[in-house]
Amino acid sequence: MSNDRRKQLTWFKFRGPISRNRYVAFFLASLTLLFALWFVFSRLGTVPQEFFPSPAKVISTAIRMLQSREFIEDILASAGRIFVAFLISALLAIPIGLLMSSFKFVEAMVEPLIDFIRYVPVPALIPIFIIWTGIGETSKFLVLFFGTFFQLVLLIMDDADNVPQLHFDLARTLGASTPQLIRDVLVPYLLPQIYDRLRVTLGWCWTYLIIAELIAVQRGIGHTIKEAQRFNAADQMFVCFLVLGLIGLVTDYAAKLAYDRLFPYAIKSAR
Amino acid sequence: MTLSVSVEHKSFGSSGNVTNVLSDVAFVVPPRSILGIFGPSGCGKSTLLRIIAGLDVNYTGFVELKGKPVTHPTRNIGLTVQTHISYDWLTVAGNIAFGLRYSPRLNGSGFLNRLTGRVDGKAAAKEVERLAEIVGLSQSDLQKYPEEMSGGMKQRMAFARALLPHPEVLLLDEPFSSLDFESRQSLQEVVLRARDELGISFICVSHDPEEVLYLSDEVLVLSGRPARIINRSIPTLPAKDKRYTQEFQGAKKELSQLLNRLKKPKK
Repeated sequence: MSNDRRKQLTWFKFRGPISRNRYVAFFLASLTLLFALWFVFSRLGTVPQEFFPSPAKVISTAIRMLQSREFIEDILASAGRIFVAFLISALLAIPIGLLMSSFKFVEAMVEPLIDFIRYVPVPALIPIFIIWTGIGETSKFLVLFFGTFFQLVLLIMDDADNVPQLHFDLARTLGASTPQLIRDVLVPYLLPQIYDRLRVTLGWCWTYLIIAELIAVQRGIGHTIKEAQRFNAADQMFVCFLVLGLIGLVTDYAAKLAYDRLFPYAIKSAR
Repeated sequence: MTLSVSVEHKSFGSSGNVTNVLSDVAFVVPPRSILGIFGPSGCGKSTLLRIIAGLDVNYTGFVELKGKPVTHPTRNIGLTVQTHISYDWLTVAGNIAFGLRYSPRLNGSGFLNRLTGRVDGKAAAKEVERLAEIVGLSQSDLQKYPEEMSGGMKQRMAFARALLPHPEVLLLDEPFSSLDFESRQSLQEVVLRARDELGISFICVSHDPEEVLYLSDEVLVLSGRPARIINRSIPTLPAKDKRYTQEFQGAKKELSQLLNRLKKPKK
């Protein structure tokens, strides 16, 4: 008993460690609590059943929807948009961010502009995108691109600015030229941070995707949610939320696992 | 003369808020010699080393290596810094070999190798092992990442990395400050060996009187604001076992007392 009590107290030890089993147990406990609350709340009837479906109803709807080809196509359409827009935005943002940090003239040319655009809320731009490019894929791409590129560029530049100068000085005394400083010090130093930035911005990408898809589109998860609204099908919306959340959870977890593989030195330092 | 240095004036800051750091600091470093620079912390020793390394060119005066002005960093003047820098994404072996990719001798041939900075693996491994042995790193240390190493081991690594390009002059900024007494002594022997066997000259900045006296062929004492050379001495002590002679202990005591006197007026 007293032994148990001592263990409980270690939970509240500031930044104290916790065993893996215990971690999983806590996660399952909170998940169970959440489902229980959901179940109870849907049974209370404060909100009518059709607007606040029970867990059982959502699960049965999920099984039905996931068996339909249409819904799978919707998910793939959304994921495809994310993939293309995020890839292009990252491929541009990383080199531009690094150059902004490396050369003041690039920073002077680009940063004020980016700061300006960054503070224009992307949804405000959707009407003009539609006027320019119609309601096709291009306007969706622009929303995603504007939502991620400008944030990402600045994050990368800030990270690059924070690489200690001595790392470069030392490489120069060993004979590195300016391009070699970028290749051999700046990029490898930043890779784990860039990877983390990408992981986080990928999450924002999904936010902008749904905004884009709510406006005008024939396929996509956002479109499915909108259709569900027309038919008051709250259970279908819930399934969409679950799918979105699960995609996020799985990609994020996979990215974290890959991080440990890609940057073994970075985990070691964190230990 | 291998290296001649003359810093007439060095200051930081812009108009209205100028700090004069160095004034009329001039000396020469002959081949195969060790110059010790001694002085209270914050007196401008590190700034002086940055100037000599070609990392800081905003000063009046000149630095010449074998008669040629030093205007930018070069492989001929190496540097180790007080806060040991490690390239954490590379193993200890990779850190030591870092400078190899810029070596005309060992640089891989072919466009792709030059683009990616790949070096001939076998030759690199041989070179790294040789240096690791000199500074006292084991085979298993070489496979570790810097983060797994103690501060002292990182200093050994940094020292090996700086030795690798065979510089004419190697600048040591508080080189062995985080080592225990025995490791410090063994690395001091490495410095002496590098001078005698490889013909490298050293400038060793330290606030440890024993280290400066033991290693140096000539000692400069820097002090004041802006810092000037206030004392030059040539320790004329027998090289072998000089650490344990009475003369050495006397000189060490004198230097310590000097340091204490220098510290007082600043407060």
